[in-house]
Amino acid sequence: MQEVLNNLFPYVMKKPDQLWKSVVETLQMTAWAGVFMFVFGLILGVLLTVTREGSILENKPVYQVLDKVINIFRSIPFVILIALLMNLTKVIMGTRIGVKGVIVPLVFGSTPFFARQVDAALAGVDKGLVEAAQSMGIGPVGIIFRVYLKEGTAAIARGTTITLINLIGLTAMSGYVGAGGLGDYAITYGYNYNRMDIVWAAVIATVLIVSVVQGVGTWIAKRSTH
Amino acid sequence: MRIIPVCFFVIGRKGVNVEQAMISLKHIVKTFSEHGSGVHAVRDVSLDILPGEIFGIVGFSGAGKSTLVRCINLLERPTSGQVIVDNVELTRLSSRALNQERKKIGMIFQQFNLFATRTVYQNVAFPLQHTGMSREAIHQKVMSLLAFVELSEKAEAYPSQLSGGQKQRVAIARALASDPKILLCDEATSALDPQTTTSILKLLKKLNQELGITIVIITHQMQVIKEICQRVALMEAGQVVEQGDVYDIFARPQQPITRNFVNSAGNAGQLEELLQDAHVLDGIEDSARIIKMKFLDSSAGKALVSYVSRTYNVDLSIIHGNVEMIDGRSLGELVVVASGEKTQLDAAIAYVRQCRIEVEVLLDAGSAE
Ligand SMILES: Nc1ncnc2c1ncn2[C@@H]1O[C@H](COP(=O)(O)OP(=O)(O)OP(=O)(O)O)[C@@H](O)[C@H]1O
Ligand SMILES: [Mg+2]
Repeated sequence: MQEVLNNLFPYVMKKPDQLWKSVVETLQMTAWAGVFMFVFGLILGVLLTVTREGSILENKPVYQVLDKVINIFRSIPFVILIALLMNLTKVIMGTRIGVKGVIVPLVFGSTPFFARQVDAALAGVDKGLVEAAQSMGIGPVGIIFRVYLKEGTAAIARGTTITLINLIGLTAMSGYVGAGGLGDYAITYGYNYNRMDIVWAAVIATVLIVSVVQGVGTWIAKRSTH
Repeated sequence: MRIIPVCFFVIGRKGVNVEQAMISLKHIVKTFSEHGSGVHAVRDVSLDILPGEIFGIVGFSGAGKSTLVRCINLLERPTSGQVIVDNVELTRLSSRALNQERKKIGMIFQQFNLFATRTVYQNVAFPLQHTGMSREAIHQKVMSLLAFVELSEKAEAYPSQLSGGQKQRVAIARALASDPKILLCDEATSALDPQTTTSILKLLKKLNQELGITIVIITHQMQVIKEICQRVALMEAGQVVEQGDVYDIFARPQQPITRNFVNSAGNAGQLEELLQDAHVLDGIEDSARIIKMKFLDSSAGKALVSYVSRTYNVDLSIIHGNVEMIDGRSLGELVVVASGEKTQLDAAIAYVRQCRIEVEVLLDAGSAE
């Protein structure tokens, strides 16, 4: 086994720690950014849904502002976003390099997309259910938690999966600020030295991580569908 | 040939005491404004619905029935007008106070609107959760409600595993959970087959009688009105064009749309169609008339026919007859072809009218050119 690996991935096996470190960095970035993305995106997505015209907390100004801001952030390429947010990153995290330095741009880069996913997921919740709850005298907070989020769980799980996979894609660019990760590994040690086995190792590791995320997402979605 | 207009005797309508009304709608107007052009869904409707009654609202699609009923619990806020439920003016309340009042007004829908991620049990428990009620108390309540709608064995099933009729039963149980005084039903049986419809109507009648719940039913099926309502309002283009006791509406529909609906509930409609057809006249003697008689609260039809026939020497052949029970009272209808001497026929009709039976001459062959 060891021998086969040595033959197939000579450069990877020379310094397996490098690969392992990159995997850990990618997971760290994804996990930290993912948690904030999930919380902020969920809040924004719910706000979009409930402030929309005709909805339970209809509020035109709030909706318009959210809608525009989300669109703006979604249209900025991630690499530019890193540059744009460098001062904010410094203020929040105390540094603008390393894994810490890339979390803020990652959150800004993925949250708007996730907010749209949540909004779309909640749009799939039958309006009749909201009306039924209203007719029972359930207030807006109850409707958000007990109707929208509960009934939209499966769709939100699917949206989370898609966003996390996107997020993993964004982490590949974090080499720009020295945050490491699998993207950086593939470019720095593979591309620059023309070592294809390193690139393949990065591909395989990424595919494995994405598959696990996809698997968990699908499982949750399935479990909450009846 | 000419169709002779009907003569009716007017009876006094039951006066409705506004103070004792369970639901009082006053000058309700609802206009949906969409890009400047307004849709006038409800135009100045005033209605009083009494405690403990089953009140029907009928009308064609787009007449504004749903909009009007949704104004009762303010799912739709009227553009103007007052909604008073159980002596509380809902249109004045804060949203918090309104939510409190809404617990007194259950609602069921054509599409059932059950929570797909919750079991039958959890659906029925939904209105009770977060109200400070203990787990055991909720359990008892839910199980007794499920027993009431005869679905105890489905407690752990999910809505997707139920038939339409069972789903509506769950919806009814859920609507009853907060002990409402009123139940609003928006086309609650329209998605169901006739047999299931009957069983749901029976259930509604049961909760009306056993729990004293006032019920408002929207439907476009006159059969539903006939089966369980005591009073009915007919809506057309956002207005109530006719209302009254169901029996009276069936016995003496005034407006064209009302006749239309009443006819749709029985086979009298076919008869009228038949009469439009000239061929019906073929077999009829020159002096014959086709007469429709309505027997209110009596079933003396047969005896009367033979008596009239003997006494006035006219031939009466029955071409259509029907007796039905509406709101516990019988309503009979008999259509005969009467032939004989003109004076005798006139006398016979006068006699029948004297017996307080409504006579409508649908066709008078004698007066045809
Ligand atoms: N939210 C809305 N926005 C705009 N127009 C509406 C809205 N709801 C209803 N309408 C319009 O109001 C009118 C009355 O609708 P409503 O649903 O009350 O009719 P209905 O009598 O219940 O009909 P149906 O038997 O088809 O349910 C229709 O012309 C409809 O298009
Ligand atoms: Mg309707």
